[in-house]
Amino acid sequence: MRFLWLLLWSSLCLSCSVSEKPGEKPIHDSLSLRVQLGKQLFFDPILSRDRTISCGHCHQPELAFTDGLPTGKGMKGRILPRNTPSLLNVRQHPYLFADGGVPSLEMQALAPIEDHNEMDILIPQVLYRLRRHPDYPEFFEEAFGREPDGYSLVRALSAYQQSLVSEGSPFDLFLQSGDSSYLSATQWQGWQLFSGQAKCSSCHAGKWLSDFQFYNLGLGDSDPGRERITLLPADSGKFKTPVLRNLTITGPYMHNGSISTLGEVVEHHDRRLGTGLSRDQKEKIVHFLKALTDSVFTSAYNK
Amino acid sequence: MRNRILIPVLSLLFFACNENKEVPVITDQPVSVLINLRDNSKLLGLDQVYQPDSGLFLKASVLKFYLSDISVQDAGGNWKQIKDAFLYNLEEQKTSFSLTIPRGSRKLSFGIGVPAALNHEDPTVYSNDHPYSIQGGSGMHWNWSSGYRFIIFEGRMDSTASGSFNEPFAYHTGQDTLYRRLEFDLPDQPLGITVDLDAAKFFKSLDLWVDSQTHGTGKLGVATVFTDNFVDAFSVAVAVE
Repeated sequence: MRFLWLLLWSSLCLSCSVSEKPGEKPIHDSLSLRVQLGKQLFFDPILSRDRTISCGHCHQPELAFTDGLPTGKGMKGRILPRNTPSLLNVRQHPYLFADGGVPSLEMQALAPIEDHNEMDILIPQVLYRLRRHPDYPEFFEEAFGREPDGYSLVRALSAYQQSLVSEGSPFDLFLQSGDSSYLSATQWQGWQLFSGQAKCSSCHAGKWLSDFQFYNLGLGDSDPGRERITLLPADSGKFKTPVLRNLTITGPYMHNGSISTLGEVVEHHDRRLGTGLSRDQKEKIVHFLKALTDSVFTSAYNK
Repeated sequence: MRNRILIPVLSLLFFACNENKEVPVITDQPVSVLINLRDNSKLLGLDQVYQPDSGLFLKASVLKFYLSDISVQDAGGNWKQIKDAFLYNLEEQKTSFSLTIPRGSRKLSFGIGVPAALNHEDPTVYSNDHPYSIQGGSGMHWNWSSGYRFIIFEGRMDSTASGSFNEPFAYHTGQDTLYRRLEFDLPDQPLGITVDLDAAKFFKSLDLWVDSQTHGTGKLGVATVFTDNFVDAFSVAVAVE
Protein backbone atom coordinates (compact mmCIF):
# COMPACT_ATOMS: atom_id res chain seq x y z
CA MET A 1 0.00 0.00 0.00
CA ARG A 2 2.79 2.42 0.90
CA PHE A 3 4.59 1.60 -2.33
CA LEU A 4 1.45 2.43 -4.27
CA TRP A 5 1.33 5.78 -2.51
CA LEU A 6 4.91 6.43 -3.48
CA LEU A 7 4.24 5.57 -7.11
CA LEU A 8 1.26 7.90 -7.21
CA TRP A 9 3.16 10.68 -5.50
CA SER A 10 6.21 10.26 -7.69
CA SER A 11 4.13 10.61 -10.82
CA LEU A 12 2.49 13.68 -9.33
CA CYS A 13 5.90 15.11 -8.57
CA LEU A 14 7.01 14.57 -12.13
CA SER A 15 4.05 16.48 -13.45
CA CYS A 16 4.13 19.25 -10.89
CA SER A 17 7.75 19.83 -10.08
CA VAL A 18 9.46 22.89 -11.42
CA SER A 19 12.47 21.96 -13.46
CA GLU A 20 15.75 23.79 -13.34
CA LYS A 21 16.13 26.58 -15.82
CA PRO A 22 17.44 25.33 -19.14
CA GLY A 23 21.08 26.05 -19.75
CA GLU A 24 21.85 26.78 -16.14
CA LYS A 25 24.24 24.42 -14.49
CA PRO A 26 23.48 23.94 -10.82
CA ILE A 27 26.46 24.37 -8.63
CA HIS A 28 26.73 21.60 -6.06
CA ASP A 29 30.45 21.65 -5.62
CA SER A 30 31.15 23.35 -2.34
CA LEU A 31 34.79 23.68 -3.36
CA SER A 32 33.95 25.84 -6.28
CA LEU A 33 35.74 29.15 -6.07
CA ARG A 34 32.56 31.01 -6.88
CA VAL A 35 30.73 29.24 -4.08
CA GLN A 36 33.56 30.00 -1.67
CA LEU A 37 33.62 33.63 -2.72
CA GLY A 38 29.85 33.81 -2.45
CA LYS A 39 29.95 32.30 1.02
CA GLN A 40 32.55 34.80 2.18
CA LEU A 41 30.46 37.67 0.81
CA PHE A 42 27.25 36.24 2.26
CA PHE A 43 28.61 36.45 5.80
CA ASP A 44 30.58 39.68 5.36
CA PRO A 45 29.00 42.89 6.72
CA ILE A 46 30.93 44.82 4.10
CA LEU A 47 27.68 44.55 2.15
CA SER A 48 25.80 46.86 4.53
CA ARG A 49 26.12 50.62 4.77
CA ASP A 50 27.34 50.71 8.38
CA ARG A 51 29.13 47.35 8.12
CA THR A 52 27.01 45.84 10.89
CA ILE A 53 24.95 43.19 9.10
CA SER A 54 25.51 40.61 6.40
CA CYS A 55 23.09 38.41 4.47
CA GLY A 56 23.64 35.86 7.22
CA HIS A 57 22.19 38.28 9.77
CA CYS A 58 18.70 37.28 8.63
CA HIS A 59 19.57 34.01 6.90
CA GLN A 60 21.16 32.06 9.77
CA PRO A 61 22.40 28.59 8.79
CA GLU A 62 21.46 27.00 12.11
CA LEU A 63 17.84 28.03 11.50
CA ALA A 64 17.80 26.70 7.94
CA PHE A 65 18.77 30.20 6.79
CA THR A 66 15.89 31.97 8.52
CA ASP A 67 16.00 34.13 11.66
CA GLY A 68 13.27 32.87 13.98
CA LEU A 69 11.46 36.21 13.92
CA PRO A 70 7.95 37.03 12.67
CA THR A 71 9.48 39.48 10.21
CA GLY A 72 13.13 40.23 9.60
CA LYS A 73 15.22 43.03 11.07
CA GLY A 74 17.53 45.03 8.87
CA MET A 75 20.25 47.54 9.59
CA LYS A 76 19.79 49.46 12.83
CA GLY A 77 16.99 47.05 13.77
CA ARG A 78 14.60 48.32 11.11
CA ILE A 79 11.59 46.03 10.95
CA LEU A 80 11.04 44.39 7.56
CA PRO A 81 7.56 43.71 6.23
CA ARG A 82 7.84 39.97 5.65
CA ASN A 83 9.00 36.74 7.23
CA THR A 84 12.54 35.75 6.26
CA PRO A 85 12.38 32.81 3.85
CA SER A 86 14.67 29.80 4.11
CA LEU A 87 17.38 29.61 1.47
CA LEU A 88 17.79 25.85 1.53
CA ASN A 89 17.02 24.48 -1.94
CA VAL A 90 16.32 28.02 -3.11
CA ARG A 91 17.79 27.13 -6.50
CA GLN A 92 14.60 25.18 -7.14
CA HIS A 93 12.43 28.30 -6.95
CA PRO A 94 11.26 29.62 -10.33
CA TYR A 95 11.08 33.13 -8.91
CA LEU A 96 12.06 34.79 -5.65
CA PHE A 97 10.32 36.74 -2.90
CA ALA A 98 6.89 35.93 -1.52
CA ASP A 99 5.34 38.01 -4.29
CA GLY A 100 7.44 36.36 -7.02
CA GLY A 101 8.74 39.73 -8.17
CA VAL A 102 12.25 38.64 -9.11
CA PRO A 103 13.04 35.83 -11.56
CA SER A 104 16.58 34.81 -10.57
CA LEU A 105 18.94 34.57 -7.62
CA GLU A 106 21.32 36.90 -9.41
CA MET A 107 18.74 39.67 -9.63
CA GLN A 108 17.43 38.93 -6.15
CA ALA A 109 20.83 39.68 -4.64
CA LEU A 110 20.50 43.34 -5.61
CA ALA A 111 17.35 43.97 -3.62
CA PRO A 112 18.36 43.42 0.04
CA ILE A 113 21.70 45.15 -0.46
CA GLU A 114 20.10 48.34 -1.78
CA ASP A 115 16.91 48.27 0.27
CA HIS A 116 16.88 51.12 2.80
CA ASN A 117 15.44 48.89 5.53
CA GLU A 118 17.85 46.02 4.97
CA MET A 119 21.49 46.72 4.09
CA ASP A 120 20.93 50.24 2.79
CA ILE A 121 23.86 50.62 0.44
CA LEU A 122 24.07 51.18 -3.30
CA ILE A 123 25.76 48.52 -5.39
CA PRO A 124 28.38 50.97 -6.77
CA GLN A 125 29.33 51.79 -3.17
CA VAL A 126 29.71 48.10 -2.35
CA LEU A 127 31.87 47.63 -5.43
CA TYR A 128 34.02 50.58 -4.39
CA ARG A 129 34.68 48.84 -1.07
CA LEU A 130 35.35 45.47 -2.65
CA ARG A 131 37.81 46.84 -5.19
CA ARG A 132 39.85 48.44 -2.41
CA HIS A 133 39.73 45.43 -0.13
CA PRO A 134 43.08 43.64 0.43
CA ASP A 135 41.73 40.22 -0.61
CA TYR A 136 38.55 40.48 -2.64
CA PRO A 137 40.01 41.75 -5.96
CA GLU A 138 42.27 38.70 -6.24
CA PHE A 139 39.47 36.38 -5.13
CA PHE A 140 37.12 37.79 -7.77
CA GLU A 141 39.84 37.53 -10.40
CA GLU A 142 40.39 33.85 -9.57
CA ALA A 143 36.69 33.05 -9.48
CA PHE A 144 35.44 35.11 -12.40
CA GLY A 145 38.46 36.44 -14.25
CA ARG A 146 37.29 39.99 -13.61
CA GLU A 147 37.36 42.61 -10.90
CA PRO A 148 34.47 42.97 -8.47
CA ASP A 149 31.57 44.33 -10.48
CA GLY A 150 27.83 43.96 -10.47
CA TYR A 151 27.98 40.88 -12.66
CA SER A 152 30.47 38.96 -10.53
CA LEU A 153 29.08 40.11 -7.18
CA VAL A 154 25.56 38.80 -7.77
CA ARG A 155 26.81 35.62 -9.41
CA ALA A 156 29.05 34.82 -6.47
CA LEU A 157 26.16 35.27 -4.04
CA SER A 158 23.94 33.21 -6.33
CA ALA A 159 26.53 30.43 -6.57
CA TYR A 160 26.66 30.09 -2.80
CA GLN A 161 22.89 30.05 -2.46
CA GLN A 162 22.60 27.48 -5.24
CA SER A 163 24.93 25.26 -3.24
CA LEU A 164 22.51 25.18 -0.29
CA VAL A 165 20.93 21.83 -1.00
CA SER A 166 19.14 19.91 1.71
CA GLU A 167 17.55 16.64 0.69
CA GLY A 168 18.07 14.55 3.79
CA SER A 169 14.77 14.83 5.62
CA PRO A 170 12.90 11.58 6.38
CA PHE A 171 10.36 12.59 3.72
CA ASP A 172 13.14 13.15 1.16
CA LEU A 173 14.70 9.81 2.00
CA PHE A 174 11.30 8.18 1.61
CA LEU A 175 10.82 9.84 -1.79
CA GLN A 176 14.29 8.88 -2.94
CA SER A 177 14.17 5.27 -1.82
CA GLY A 178 10.54 4.33 -1.70
CA ASP A 179 11.22 3.01 1.78
CA SER A 180 8.33 4.17 3.94
CA SER A 181 10.12 3.15 7.09
CA TYR A 182 11.81 6.53 7.04
CA LEU A 183 8.46 7.83 8.29
CA SER A 184 6.91 6.77 11.58
CA ALA A 185 3.44 5.26 11.48
CA THR A 186 1.93 8.53 12.69
CA GLN A 187 3.87 10.53 10.12
CA TRP A 188 2.72 8.16 7.42
CA GLN A 189 -0.89 8.66 8.44
CA GLY A 190 -0.30 12.40 8.47
CA TRP A 191 1.13 12.22 4.98
CA GLN A 192 -1.93 10.38 3.76
CA LEU A 193 -4.16 13.06 5.25
CA PHE A 194 -1.92 15.81 3.86
CA SER A 195 -2.22 14.46 0.36
CA GLY A 196 -5.84 13.42 0.71
CA GLN A 197 -8.65 14.59 2.95
CA ALA A 198 -6.88 17.70 4.22
CA LYS A 199 -6.35 18.98 0.66
CA CYS A 200 -2.92 20.38 1.55
CA SER A 201 -1.46 18.93 -1.62
CA SER A 202 -3.80 20.95 -3.81
CA CYS A 203 -1.18 23.70 -3.37
CA HIS A 204 1.68 21.95 -1.59
CA ALA A 205 2.41 19.63 -4.47
CA GLY A 206 5.46 18.10 -6.10
CA LYS A 207 8.77 17.14 -4.57
CA TRP A 208 9.13 20.48 -2.81
CA LEU A 209 5.52 20.55 -1.69
CA SER A 210 4.85 23.81 -3.51
CA ASP A 211 3.09 24.60 -6.75
CA PHE A 212 4.81 28.01 -6.70
CA GLN A 213 1.48 29.69 -7.40
CA PHE A 214 -0.03 32.61 -5.50
CA TYR A 215 -2.92 32.50 -3.03
CA ASN A 216 -4.63 34.78 -0.56
CA LEU A 217 -4.85 32.93 2.73
CA GLY A 218 -6.96 35.55 4.43
CA LEU A 219 -4.37 36.73 6.91
CA GLY A 220 -5.79 40.20 6.71
CA ASP A 221 -2.71 42.40 6.67
CA SER A 222 -2.06 45.39 4.43
CA ASP A 223 0.67 43.79 2.31
CA PRO A 224 -0.50 43.89 -1.34
CA GLY A 225 1.45 40.71 -2.12
CA ARG A 226 1.42 39.67 -5.74
CA GLU A 227 -0.61 42.74 -6.68
CA ARG A 228 2.50 44.83 -6.12
CA ILE A 229 4.05 43.09 -9.10
CA THR A 230 1.14 42.48 -11.45
CA LEU A 231 -0.91 45.55 -10.47
CA LEU A 232 -3.99 43.34 -10.77
CA PRO A 233 -6.53 43.85 -7.96
CA ALA A 234 -7.34 40.15 -8.21
CA ASP A 235 -3.82 39.44 -6.92
CA SER A 236 -4.25 41.51 -3.78
CA GLY A 237 -2.93 39.70 -0.73
CA LYS A 238 -1.71 36.70 -2.70
CA PHE A 239 1.61 35.11 -1.83
CA LYS A 240 3.68 32.27 -3.23
CA THR A 241 3.06 28.80 -1.83
CA PRO A 242 6.14 28.19 0.30
CA VAL A 243 8.34 25.16 -0.07
CA LEU A 244 7.81 22.89 2.94
CA ARG A 245 11.12 21.83 4.44
CA ASN A 246 12.82 22.19 7.82
CA LEU A 247 9.62 23.49 9.35
CA THR A 248 10.57 22.62 12.91
CA ILE A 249 13.26 25.33 12.85
CA THR A 250 11.80 27.93 10.49
CA GLY A 251 8.88 29.30 12.47
CA PRO A 252 7.01 31.52 12.88
CA TYR A 253 5.07 30.89 9.72
CA MET A 254 3.21 32.58 6.85
CA HIS A 255 4.44 35.56 4.82
CA ASN A 256 4.08 37.88 7.80
CA GLY A 257 5.13 35.44 10.51
CA SER A 258 1.73 35.79 12.13
CA ILE A 259 1.29 32.13 13.10
CA SER A 260 3.63 30.71 15.71
CA THR A 261 3.19 26.96 15.58
CA LEU A 262 2.61 24.26 13.00
CA GLY A 263 -0.53 23.21 14.85
CA GLU A 264 -1.99 26.68 14.42
CA VAL A 265 -1.08 26.66 10.73
CA VAL A 266 -2.98 23.42 10.25
CA GLU A 267 -5.91 24.86 12.22
CA HIS A 268 -5.93 27.95 10.01
CA HIS A 269 -6.04 25.92 6.81
CA ASP A 270 -8.65 23.54 8.23
CA ARG A 271 -10.96 26.48 8.97
CA ARG A 272 -10.28 28.14 5.61
CA LEU A 273 -10.79 25.00 3.53
CA GLY A 274 -13.58 23.57 5.65
CA THR A 275 -11.98 20.15 5.68
CA GLY A 276 -13.44 19.21 9.05
CA LEU A 277 -10.37 17.45 10.38
CA SER A 278 -10.49 15.96 13.85
CA ARG A 279 -7.97 16.98 16.48
CA ASP A 280 -6.22 13.65 16.06
CA GLN A 281 -5.99 14.08 12.30
CA LYS A 282 -4.50 17.57 12.66
CA GLU A 283 -1.91 16.25 15.07
CA LYS A 284 -0.97 13.55 12.59
CA ILE A 285 -0.45 16.17 9.89
CA VAL A 286 1.80 18.12 12.25
CA HIS A 287 3.78 14.93 12.85
CA PHE A 288 4.18 14.55 9.11
CA LEU A 289 5.36 18.16 8.78
CA LYS A 290 8.06 17.42 11.33
CA ALA A 291 9.34 14.70 9.01
CA LEU A 292 10.32 17.43 6.56
CA THR A 293 13.31 18.60 8.59
CA ASP A 294 16.78 17.63 7.39
CA SER A 295 18.45 17.14 10.75
CA VAL A 296 21.73 16.06 9.14
CA PHE A 297 22.12 19.37 7.32
CA THR A 298 20.94 21.54 10.17
CA SER A 299 22.89 19.74 12.89
CA ALA A 300 26.07 20.23 10.86
CA TYR A 301 25.59 23.98 11.27
CA ASN A 302 24.64 23.68 14.92
CA LYS A 303 27.88 22.00 15.90
CA MET B 1 1.50 58.13 -31.66
CA ARG B 2 1.92 61.81 -31.86
CA ASN B 3 3.13 63.65 -34.81
CA ARG B 4 4.38 67.08 -34.06
CA ILE B 5 7.19 68.92 -35.70
CA LEU B 6 8.55 72.39 -35.69
CA ILE B 7 11.19 73.06 -38.26
CA PRO B 8 12.91 76.33 -37.82
CA VAL B 9 14.93 76.79 -40.95
CA LEU B 10 18.38 77.89 -40.07
CA SER B 11 20.33 80.23 -42.19
CA LEU B 12 22.86 78.28 -44.10
CA LEU B 13 26.17 79.47 -45.34
CA PHE B 14 27.41 77.86 -48.47
CA PHE B 15 31.00 78.06 -49.29
CA ALA B 16 31.94 77.90 -52.92
CA CYS B 17 33.30 74.56 -53.83
CA ASN B 18 36.44 74.24 -55.75
CA GLU B 19 35.27 73.08 -59.16
CA ASN B 20 38.21 70.72 -59.39
CA LYS B 21 37.20 68.83 -56.30
CA GLU B 22 34.57 66.13 -56.16
CA VAL B 23 31.32 67.01 -54.48
CA PRO B 24 31.36 64.97 -51.25
CA VAL B 25 28.78 62.27 -51.00
CA ILE B 26 26.46 63.05 -48.15
CA THR B 27 25.90 59.94 -46.16
CA ASP B 28 24.62 59.41 -42.65
CA GLN B 29 23.99 62.59 -40.72
CA PRO B 30 25.53 63.16 -37.28
CA VAL B 31 22.97 64.99 -35.22
CA SER B 32 23.05 66.27 -31.67
CA VAL B 33 19.96 66.03 -29.52
CA LEU B 34 19.56 68.57 -26.74
CA ILE B 35 16.82 68.28 -24.13
CA ASN B 36 15.76 71.49 -22.38
CA LEU B 37 13.61 71.51 -19.28
CA ARG B 38 11.27 74.49 -19.43
CA ASP B 39 8.60 76.25 -17.47
CA ASN B 40 6.42 77.25 -20.40
CA SER B 41 8.87 79.23 -22.53
CA LYS B 42 11.56 79.81 -19.86
CA LEU B 43 14.45 77.45 -19.27
CA LEU B 44 14.11 75.74 -15.90
CA GLY B 45 16.89 74.37 -13.72
CA LEU B 46 17.04 72.46 -10.48
CA ASP B 47 16.12 74.42 -7.35
CA GLN B 48 14.41 77.15 -9.35
CA VAL B 49 10.91 78.05 -8.20
CA TYR B 50 8.15 77.39 -10.68
CA GLN B 51 4.40 76.94 -10.63
CA PRO B 52 3.01 74.02 -12.64
CA ASP B 53 -0.65 73.44 -13.41
CA SER B 54 -1.14 71.94 -9.95
CA GLY B 55 -1.05 75.45 -8.52
CA LEU B 56 1.60 74.91 -5.85
CA PHE B 57 5.03 76.45 -6.17
CA LEU B 58 7.72 73.82 -6.57
CA LYS B 59 11.46 73.40 -6.64
CA ALA B 60 12.75 70.37 -8.51
CA SER B 61 15.76 68.51 -7.12
CA VAL B 62 15.91 65.41 -9.34
CA LEU B 63 14.75 64.76 -12.88
CA LYS B 64 15.82 61.55 -14.57
CA PHE B 65 14.15 59.57 -17.32
CA TYR B 66 14.92 57.07 -20.04
CA LEU B 67 14.64 57.60 -23.75
CA SER B 68 14.87 54.18 -25.35
CA ASP B 69 14.81 52.28 -28.60
CA ILE B 70 15.55 55.43 -30.58
CA SER B 71 14.70 54.47 -34.14
CA VAL B 72 14.29 55.97 -37.59
CA GLN B 73 12.03 54.99 -40.44
CA ASP B 74 13.25 55.03 -44.02
CA ALA B 75 11.22 55.94 -47.11
CA GLY B 76 10.16 52.34 -47.45
CA GLY B 77 8.58 52.35 -44.01
CA ASN B 78 11.23 50.17 -42.38
CA TRP B 79 12.29 51.00 -38.83
CA LYS B 80 15.89 50.75 -37.65
CA GLN B 81 17.18 51.33 -34.13
CA ILE B 82 20.03 53.85 -34.04
CA LYS B 83 20.51 54.08 -30.25
CA ASP B 84 19.26 51.71 -27.58
CA ALA B 85 18.98 54.07 -24.62
CA PHE B 86 19.79 57.46 -23.14
CA LEU B 87 19.37 58.35 -19.48
CA TYR B 88 18.57 62.02 -19.00
CA ASN B 89 19.89 63.23 -15.64
CA LEU B 90 19.57 66.93 -14.99
CA GLU B 91 21.60 66.82 -11.78
CA GLU B 92 24.55 65.32 -13.63
CA GLN B 93 23.91 67.58 -16.64
CA LYS B 94 23.39 64.60 -18.91
CA THR B 95 20.95 66.43 -21.10
CA SER B 96 22.24 65.81 -24.62
CA PHE B 97 23.46 63.01 -26.80
CA SER B 98 24.35 62.40 -30.42
CA LEU B 99 22.71 60.30 -33.07
CA THR B 100 23.78 59.19 -36.52
CA ILE B 101 20.70 59.45 -38.67
CA PRO B 102 20.82 57.47 -41.91
CA ARG B 103 20.28 59.63 -44.96
CA GLY B 104 16.75 59.42 -46.27
CA SER B 105 15.18 58.82 -42.88
CA ARG B 106 11.61 60.04 -42.73
CA LYS B 107 10.59 59.61 -39.10
CA LEU B 108 12.22 59.49 -35.69
CA SER B 109 10.69 57.53 -32.84
CA PHE B 110 11.70 56.88 -29.24
CA GLY B 111 10.26 55.36 -26.13
CA ILE B 112 9.92 57.04 -22.75
CA GLY B 113 10.81 54.32 -20.27
CA VAL B 114 12.25 50.88 -20.90
CA PRO B 115 10.61 48.48 -23.37
CA ALA B 116 8.93 45.50 -21.72
CA ALA B 117 11.30 43.10 -23.48
CA LEU B 118 14.25 44.65 -21.61
CA ASN B 119 12.58 45.96 -18.49
CA HIS B 120 12.89 42.73 -16.52
CA GLU B 121 16.30 41.56 -17.67
CA ASP B 122 19.36 41.26 -15.46
CA PRO B 123 20.95 44.73 -15.17
CA THR B 124 24.34 43.28 -14.25
CA VAL B 125 24.97 41.99 -17.77
CA TYR B 126 25.46 45.53 -19.12
CA SER B 127 28.79 47.34 -19.11
CA ASN B 128 29.09 49.91 -16.32
CA ASP B 129 28.58 52.89 -18.62
CA HIS B 130 25.36 51.58 -20.15
CA PRO B 131 22.17 53.35 -19.00
CA TYR B 132 20.58 50.02 -18.12
CA SER B 133 23.49 48.90 -15.91
CA ILE B 134 23.40 49.24 -12.14
CA GLN B 135 26.16 51.85 -12.21
CA GLY B 136 25.18 53.68 -15.39
CA GLY B 137 21.53 53.46 -14.43
CA SER B 138 22.22 55.82 -11.57
CA GLY B 139 19.59 54.48 -9.23
CA MET B 140 16.94 53.82 -11.86
CA HIS B 141 16.78 50.06 -11.32
CA TRP B 142 13.90 48.92 -9.19
CA ASN B 143 15.32 45.70 -7.88
CA TRP B 144 12.33 44.53 -5.80
CA SER B 145 10.34 43.97 -8.99
CA SER B 146 13.20 43.42 -11.43
CA GLY B 147 12.40 46.47 -13.51
CA TYR B 148 13.41 50.08 -13.99
CA ARG B 149 12.00 53.37 -12.94
CA PHE B 150 11.09 55.15 -16.15
CA ILE B 151 10.87 58.68 -14.75
CA ILE B 152 12.03 60.17 -11.45
CA PHE B 153 10.87 63.67 -10.62
CA GLU B 154 11.49 64.86 -7.07
CA GLY B 155 11.66 68.12 -5.21
CA ARG B 156 9.95 70.20 -2.57
CA MET B 157 6.73 72.16 -2.63
CA ASP B 158 5.57 75.27 -0.84
CA SER B 159 2.45 73.72 0.62
CA THR B 160 1.77 76.57 3.04
CA ALA B 161 2.41 79.44 0.61
CA SER B 162 5.06 80.66 3.02
CA GLY B 163 8.03 80.31 0.75
CA SER B 164 9.44 77.58 2.96
CA PHE B 165 9.17 74.63 0.53
CA ASN B 166 8.62 72.36 3.48
CA GLU B 167 6.96 69.36 1.83
CA PRO B 168 8.73 66.85 -0.41
CA PHE B 169 7.20 65.39 -3.53
CA ALA B 170 8.50 62.30 -5.33
CA TYR B 171 7.12 60.80 -8.51
CA HIS B 172 8.71 57.52 -9.56
CA THR B 173 7.02 55.77 -12.45
CA GLY B 174 7.77 52.37 -13.92
CA GLN B 175 5.85 49.24 -14.93
CA ASP B 176 5.37 48.02 -18.48
CA THR B 177 1.96 49.60 -18.81
CA LEU B 178 3.52 53.06 -18.44
CA TYR B 179 5.91 52.72 -21.38
CA ARG B 180 5.12 55.31 -24.03
CA ARG B 181 6.43 56.12 -27.51
CA LEU B 182 6.64 59.34 -29.46
CA GLU B 183 7.12 59.73 -33.20
CA PHE B 184 8.15 62.76 -35.24
CA ASP B 185 8.62 63.56 -38.92
CA LEU B 186 12.19 64.16 -39.99
CA PRO B 187 13.12 66.66 -42.66
CA ASP B 188 15.91 66.04 -45.17
CA GLN B 189 19.36 66.63 -43.78
CA PRO B 190 18.59 67.42 -40.13
CA LEU B 191 21.34 69.33 -38.37
CA GLY B 192 20.21 69.18 -34.79
CA ILE B 193 17.25 68.23 -32.66
CA THR B 194 16.04 70.26 -29.71
CA VAL B 195 13.58 68.63 -27.34
CA ASP B 196 11.68 70.96 -25.03
CA LEU B 197 10.12 69.42 -21.95
CA ASP B 198 7.57 71.71 -20.36
CA ALA B 199 7.50 71.03 -16.62
CA ALA B 200 4.44 73.25 -16.29
CA LYS B 201 2.38 70.38 -17.72
CA PHE B 202 3.65 67.60 -15.44
CA PHE B 203 0.92 67.78 -12.81
CA LYS B 204 -2.11 68.65 -14.91
CA SER B 205 -5.24 67.09 -13.31
CA LEU B 206 -3.18 65.98 -10.31
CA ASP B 207 -3.45 67.32 -6.79
CA LEU B 208 -0.08 67.45 -5.10
CA TRP B 209 -1.80 68.12 -1.80
CA VAL B 210 -3.30 64.65 -2.00
CA ASP B 211 -0.79 62.77 -4.10
CA SER B 212 2.66 64.05 -3.29
CA GLN B 213 4.23 60.66 -4.02
CA THR B 214 3.90 57.70 -6.30
CA HIS B 215 6.31 54.82 -6.45
CA GLY B 216 4.77 52.73 -9.15
CA THR B 217 2.41 50.65 -7.07
CA GLY B 218 -0.63 51.51 -5.07
CA LYS B 219 -1.20 54.68 -7.04
CA LEU B 220 -1.05 53.42 -10.58
CA GLY B 221 -3.78 55.86 -11.62
CA VAL B 222 -1.70 58.81 -10.44
CA ALA B 223 1.41 57.42 -12.12
CA THR B 224 -0.53 56.97 -15.35
CA VAL B 225 -1.81 60.55 -15.37
CA PHE B 226 1.68 61.84 -14.59
CA THR B 227 3.19 59.70 -17.36
CA ASP B 228 0.71 60.95 -19.93
CA ASN B 229 1.30 64.54 -18.82
CA PHE B 230 5.04 63.98 -19.09
CA VAL B 231 4.71 62.66 -22.63
CA ASP B 232 2.45 65.56 -23.54
CA ALA B 233 5.12 67.96 -22.29
CA PHE B 234 7.50 66.98 -25.10
CA SER B 235 7.89 69.12 -28.20
CA VAL B 236 10.59 68.68 -30.77
CA ALA B 237 12.23 71.14 -33.11
CA VAL B 238 14.54 69.97 -35.88
CA ALA B 239 17.06 72.34 -37.37
CA VAL B 240 17.78 71.74 -41.04
CA GLU B 241 20.22 72.89 -43.64
